Amino acid sequence: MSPLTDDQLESLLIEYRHHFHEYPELADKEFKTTEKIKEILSGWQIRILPTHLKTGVFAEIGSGDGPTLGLRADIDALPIQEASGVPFSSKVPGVMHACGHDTHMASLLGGAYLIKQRERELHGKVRLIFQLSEEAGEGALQVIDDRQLEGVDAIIGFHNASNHPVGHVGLLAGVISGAIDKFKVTLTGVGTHASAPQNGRDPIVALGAEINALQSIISRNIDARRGVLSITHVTAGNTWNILPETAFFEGTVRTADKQVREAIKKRFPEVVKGTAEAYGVIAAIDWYTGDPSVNNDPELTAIVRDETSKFTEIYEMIPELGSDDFACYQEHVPGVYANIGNGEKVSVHNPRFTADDGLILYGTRFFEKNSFRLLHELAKRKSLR
Amino acid sequence: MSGEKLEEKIIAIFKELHQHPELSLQEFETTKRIRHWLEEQSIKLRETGLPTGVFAEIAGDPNGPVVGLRADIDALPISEQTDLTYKSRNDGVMHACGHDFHTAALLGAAFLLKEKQAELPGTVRLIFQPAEETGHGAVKVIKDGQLKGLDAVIGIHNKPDLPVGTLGIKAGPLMAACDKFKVTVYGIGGHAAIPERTKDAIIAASSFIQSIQTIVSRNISPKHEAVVSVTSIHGGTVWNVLPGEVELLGTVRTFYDQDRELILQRFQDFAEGVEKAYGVQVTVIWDEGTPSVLNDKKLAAIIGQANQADAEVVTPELSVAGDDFSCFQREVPGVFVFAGSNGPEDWHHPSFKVDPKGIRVAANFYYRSAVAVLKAWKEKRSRHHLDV
Repeated sequence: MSPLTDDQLESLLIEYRHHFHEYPELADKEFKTTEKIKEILSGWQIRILPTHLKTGVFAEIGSGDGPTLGLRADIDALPIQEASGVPFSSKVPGVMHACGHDTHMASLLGGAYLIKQRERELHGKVRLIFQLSEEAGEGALQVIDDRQLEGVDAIIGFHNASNHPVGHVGLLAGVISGAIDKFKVTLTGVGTHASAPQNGRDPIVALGAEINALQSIISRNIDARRGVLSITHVTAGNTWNILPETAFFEGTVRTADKQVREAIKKRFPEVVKGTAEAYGVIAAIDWYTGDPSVNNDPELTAIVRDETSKFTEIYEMIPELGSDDFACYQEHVPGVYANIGNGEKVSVHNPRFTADDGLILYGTRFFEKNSFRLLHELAKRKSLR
Repeated sequence: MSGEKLEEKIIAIFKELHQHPELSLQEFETTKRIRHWLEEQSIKLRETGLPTGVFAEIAGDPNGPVVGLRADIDALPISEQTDLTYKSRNDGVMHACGHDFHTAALLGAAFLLKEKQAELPGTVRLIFQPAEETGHGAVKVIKDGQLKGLDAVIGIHNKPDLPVGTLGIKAGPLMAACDKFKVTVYGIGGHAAIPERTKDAIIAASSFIQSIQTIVSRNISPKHEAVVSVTSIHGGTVWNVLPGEVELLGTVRTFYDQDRELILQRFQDFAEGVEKAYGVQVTVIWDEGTPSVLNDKKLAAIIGQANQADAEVVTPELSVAGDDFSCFQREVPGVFVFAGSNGPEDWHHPSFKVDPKGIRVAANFYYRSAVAVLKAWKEKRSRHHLDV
């Protein structure tokens, strides 16, 4: 079989991406996505690695005792009803690739194809990590627990980035994302008939007060550039004439540094408990300390910058508070997390978000070119040692 | 049937109903049971086009007046949290408003009336009404023609804060008008870490909840009672996505039409304010419910007198709960009475209970009131005939 031309490869990858987009799967439930990736990789004679995880795909190209470079793409979708209007819109009600992970997968598949074509030129191995459950913030930890990072010397990955020209690559050494914390709060009042509020303790009025009171943490207690607190999910009651016993809210905190992270963690229960007390309800807080910040290795970032600049424009990433559990890999091995421009689009996680097919070939090149270059550099370092 | 035997039977009926609660318009088994209990005593059922609810008649003097006795039969979507031996067997459904008490009491009255059928100065019509909780049952019953020919209608509601043996009877307003609302806030969803590219619907909704607290505290006269409750809020599905939409449900209770109108106006004002302040869109859907329960003065006097000897009759406080019995009162003169049930919790509470001893008192109330009203109406008629 003669190798695919660039055009042929690009249309094949777009076809795959549209397929992934039509059949999105939620975090930890990426069963069909996993099957599809395996099928494609096997078709290209790429070695699939064993795993205990039910979803996610791990594979390897190359051989010998040279260095190993991890290439990571995330594969899960979000519980959002798509309203983008693209012809390949989600066929799964209430689930959508609203974060563009479909383009990340397609790019890594493309990179894998091209690397496989030149497998003999590799100074070592690439480990393909099609990671489950990024959105739940725990996929990377599962991958690490499954020992898929063993033997990996460095790791790269990227996220699409709206508001940058398609295919331009954003890079920055050091901290580029926020640390993630999650919270869940249940307010327990006393349920009663909706017409006799004085006989109960209304958790919904308390919920409203909590949400408003929590705004002041960002506006009053910290340097507002260093943190975000979002309440993303509220639920209470199930009918119109009963004041419920409980109200629930959850959300996330993103912080740029440790001090701010600690300050919010301390202030949050003060505000929540104090407001609860004011409204005569009881607040139960679950705080989940999540992933750290994505922190790019300066040396590797310089190499990736040099190599990437050979095929596209580079821009300086501006550190954001959005995060990614790619950070968990960087706790173990040095890594570089890049952005690839997605053009002028609405925000990720919006029902109208679209990712641009055009970025896939850049993602493919990003993985391909940097794999050869980084393995070459890593091999040099190894032999020096 | 002896008094003791009757009490035993209606308490057994009450317990069976309590164990098998059914939601509004789904009272199929309840309907079957009530029909069975009535047919057992050869009480004549009326035809109906409604899938649930039971209508029956006990006819005495065919030339006499017709009085309706009404009990509601539906339950609520609440998980029962009592330690009763006859606790609900239907998960998530509970007779938390004591409609099982009303149904058992009306059946008891029916058995008593059946025994005296020949002596009745008119006809008693039994109305076992579906779907009181959703506020649509009474209108269905009216449309089904079950009120045709009625001269008066009598209903009860159990009252946890009144002791067993006490009846709350009051002329004029008794229970509130009951409107529902659905407020939907449409923002722009997005990533939880990029709030500046969203319009946060949750913040706007919580601000709306806080704002409408001032309607009762600032806009309604302190002399009037009114309640505004948000009972449900739903928005978002997951921790890292800001949703584009939040929905609020709730209810408004008033006794006076001008308050009712004012509250709707304030909702629209706050909706517009929140739209401007948070850059969102807000829709207010107002589902006008049943009007306030307004008791007929003459009827209240007759039944007050008729029950004085056997029960402690008190003037009850206004209740901000609603009951669609009020729809019947817009068709025929009616009176709605509170029957003491000595419960530990208020209506709709998961630990709501009634004292089953109150059921026989309520059955006697129905019975005595029906007979008294039939007599009074018959006398009035004959006086009227004499006048002519």
